[in-house]
Amino acid sequence: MKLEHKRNQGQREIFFMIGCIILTHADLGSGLKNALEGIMGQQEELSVISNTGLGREEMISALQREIDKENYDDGVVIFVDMPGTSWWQTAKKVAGGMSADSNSTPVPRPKTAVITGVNLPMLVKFFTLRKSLPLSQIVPLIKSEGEKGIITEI
Amino acid sequence: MPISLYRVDERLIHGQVVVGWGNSLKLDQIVLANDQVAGNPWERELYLACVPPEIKATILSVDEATIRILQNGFQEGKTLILVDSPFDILRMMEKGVRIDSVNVGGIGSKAGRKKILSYIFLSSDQISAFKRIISSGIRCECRDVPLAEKHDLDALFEKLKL
Repeated sequence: MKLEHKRNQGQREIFFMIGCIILTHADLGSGLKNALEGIMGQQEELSVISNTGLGREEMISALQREIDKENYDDGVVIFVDMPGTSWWQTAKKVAGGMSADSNSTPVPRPKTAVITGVNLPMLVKFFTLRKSLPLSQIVPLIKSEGEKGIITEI
Repeated sequence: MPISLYRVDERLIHGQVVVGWGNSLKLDQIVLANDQVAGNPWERELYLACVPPEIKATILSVDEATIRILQNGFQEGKTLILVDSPFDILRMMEKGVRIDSVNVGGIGSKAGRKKILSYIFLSSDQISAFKRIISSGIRCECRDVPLAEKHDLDALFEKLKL
């Protein structure tokens, strides 16, 4: 997947390919995906899951399934719409490697970031940078971009 | 003050409970009665982090919560008791907890479960458990968020011929 991608890009060299999974209430995620692709064109390794109709075990397996679809060697960012919500808990459980067995120590999933409060400025920044910077550098940049996207006038 | 609301919700502490019911009932306390979460320090911490500081959050096993309810342990302010299945409501009833009504929130879709409402899918065991709750005189009202339409679970069972 990554090698093919490198060839398709012509002369431009690609160093990274960081995946993106957007977890939201209702249709917010697919709306964000449509809006983002309206601005930046179609994107690969971008998936969206809604919590509609899913219980907490099903949310964990839905996210796990999505993560297992790709190898995400360079990492994956899980965007969540709101902290304190069921998707946030799910993302933290999966990224933190929490198992149902309370006696085992959680082993965090490598190169898996969780960021809440997903908005369009944050996503645009992420998709601009995700092939040129490692995960550890991208996360603080998209956080700050998401915050800078909030401007008030009163 | 008696318990303000008993709620069955598979997602446990989440937006609908904290924002929806928390604001509408002006809750002082959320008691999560769940054996799995109570027994796992990592999960406890995670669910506690989902409750804003103005609401007190307590996580107990179903048996511990039952004892506290029977000892009138949650008398201060408005308390929501949260469980993830009708089986835990039955466990509380069987130990002598008196409940007038149960609010039924999200119970997600899964293999072998039948759709009752857009947010409620029940296995045959869960249907029997709810029927036992209803037959002991407890009203089961389906409503995911406070402003949504209320549906009487017994009437839905009848309509769906369950």
